[in-house]
Amino acid sequence: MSEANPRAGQTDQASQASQESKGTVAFGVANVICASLVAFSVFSALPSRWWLVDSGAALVIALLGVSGVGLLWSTPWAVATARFASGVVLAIGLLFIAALALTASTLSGLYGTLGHATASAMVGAIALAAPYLVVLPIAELLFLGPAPDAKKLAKSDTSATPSDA
Amino acid sequence: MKARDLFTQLGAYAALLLLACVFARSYVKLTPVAPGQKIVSAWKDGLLVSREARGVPRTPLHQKELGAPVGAVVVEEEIVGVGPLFAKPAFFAMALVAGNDGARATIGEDVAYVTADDLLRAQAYEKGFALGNLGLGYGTSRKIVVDLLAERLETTPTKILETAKLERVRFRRLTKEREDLEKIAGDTLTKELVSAAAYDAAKYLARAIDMKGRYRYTIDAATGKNVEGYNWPRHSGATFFLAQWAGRVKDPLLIQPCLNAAKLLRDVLLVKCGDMKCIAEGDEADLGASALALNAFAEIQQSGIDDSFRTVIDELSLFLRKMQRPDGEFMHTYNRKEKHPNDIQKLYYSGEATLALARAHLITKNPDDLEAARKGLAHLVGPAWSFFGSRYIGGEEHWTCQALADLWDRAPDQNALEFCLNWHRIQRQAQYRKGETPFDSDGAFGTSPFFTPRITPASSRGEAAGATLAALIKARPNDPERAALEDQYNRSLAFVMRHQFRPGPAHLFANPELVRGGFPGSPVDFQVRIDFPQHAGSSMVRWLDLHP
Repeated sequence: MSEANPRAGQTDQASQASQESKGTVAFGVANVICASLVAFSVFSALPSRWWLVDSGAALVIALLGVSGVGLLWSTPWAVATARFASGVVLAIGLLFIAALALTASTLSGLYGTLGHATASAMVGAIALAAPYLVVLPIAELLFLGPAPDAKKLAKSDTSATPSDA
Repeated sequence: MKARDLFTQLGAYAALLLLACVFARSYVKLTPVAPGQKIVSAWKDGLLVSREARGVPRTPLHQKELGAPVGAVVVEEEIVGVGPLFAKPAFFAMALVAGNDGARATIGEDVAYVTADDLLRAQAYEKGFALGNLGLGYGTSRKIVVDLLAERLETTPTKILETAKLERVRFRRLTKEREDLEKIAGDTLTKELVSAAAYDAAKYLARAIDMKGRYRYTIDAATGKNVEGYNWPRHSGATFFLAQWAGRVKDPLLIQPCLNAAKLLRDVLLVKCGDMKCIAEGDEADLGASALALNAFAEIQQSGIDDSFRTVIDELSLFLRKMQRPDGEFMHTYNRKEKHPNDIQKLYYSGEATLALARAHLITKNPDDLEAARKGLAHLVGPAWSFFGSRYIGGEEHWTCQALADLWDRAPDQNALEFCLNWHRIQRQAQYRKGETPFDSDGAFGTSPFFTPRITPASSRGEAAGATLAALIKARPNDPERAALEDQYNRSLAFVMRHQFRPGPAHLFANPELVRGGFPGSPVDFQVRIDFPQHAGSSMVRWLDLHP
């Protein structure tokens, strides 16, 4: 349809670009908020320090913070950084959930039933972390779409060179 | 990444995680053993004197026929299951279920056992890691277990860790007492049973008081030795319960020690706080010591066991009133040197002071005491616990709810009743039911299998439940929540009673009679502090008042 009506195509493209721009800003804000929440939860709310949690949290804060700022300012590296950050944060989130689930399983094997309160605490911890460390990065990866294939990029760069010259 | 690829990978992750969880759970789980495997031990004065393993696949090193000396107690521990045990400190500490699990080490043909009783006697459970500076711990001490195994295999702890095959072993102690204890449940409590338990708790406290009126503050039941430390609010609190029971049964063997403890407070520790009198030992007076002393004095005076406390009741009531702010809150310390109160707040003291003034009013008949108690209670259930989400979180309100009940006939406070009912609802969320933990914990309160349920929180919540029930019955006898609160109270009291040393695992104690009637910190923590029988005993008194 866009070929039949070039103006309509231009309108669609403009509308899509506007939506993408809004989405980029929304994810930028979400990333910055999420980075702040992780910073507060780990470095202010947790009573003691443990390198494993602290370094994981520091990585999440750095990646989400930088990618969030990049998306908000529409920097050229923003999308690639956000895609990388979402992948790493998702991996950390899945590791965190796996650690909690395996701990619960092991404890249940060792102690028998864990009791209502402990089971609730485990589910609560997963429920608290999942929106920020799993749902957000998945949504962001889906929104940003797949990364451009490096080989295809290289080819298009080579073929473009003569005409550019 | 394409959406389809992403969800395919997430699906694979979920499936793998599920498989890993099922494997981890089944790998560490105990494998049941053939019936009839037992470790039979002879104990005397809390020490292991001989041991024999029966029906086990391999005879332990230095197996001896059981030759129990005169006076020894023979105890059978049945092996019910075996599981893997890794030497790594964190896993080792958390892999043994406190009070239930021991260990087995095998090097070549030699095997040695450390039973649950061995670890209880060595007080090895909940000593793996310290929990901040609370004096509590979690996890089993790897060092104690490995040292015991090394001693029994005549080798070094290092060799045990490096070369031995380690296994955790689940034991079940077979004794008549255990069978009898299992019969004590929320729905089997009787007046006779509760009275006898309260009497023994009072006797324990009475025995712990010396001629000067000072308690043996904490006793390690395993060794029979004193543990350092003293606390005057707890001295006063213990004397309060002793006065409650001594006044009820009029037993001279309880009355005299009770009066000795009370007179130590009145005749030695009653000092000047500016123009007033307070209970203090140094330059700073704690409100709690004066408040709980006033509770004890009022109880002694009220019960008629000694009427010489009237003056000090007036003096301490005045002190508490002067420590109260206009909004009903109390200032919790007094600087005796500079003669001024410090407007700081500590745990428990406001509730203790409110209850003390309520009780003192019964003696003094001074309307100022009643008004101060009324204001104190209104503050505790209002501004003192008011923040976003406060109705979902509970503090320590056992004194508050007792003040509610004591004041009900003279100054009923509907807000306080609703506050206490809500507080108990929150507590019920954390109350264990039978089979929810590997411990004997039906009726106890807790949120983690890492910690064996503590006895005193169940006692203090019982005191508060008894008090709240008393007020509820007067306010709304047919309230639909009454049955749930009664069930909560009965089960918590039954839990407390099952763990009273009457005599408890006496074979593990150096001197069982020394701690008879006392209450341990938990099923695996054998330290008996004076406030443990205080709260348990007061909970029993409340229960008996509700079942005349």
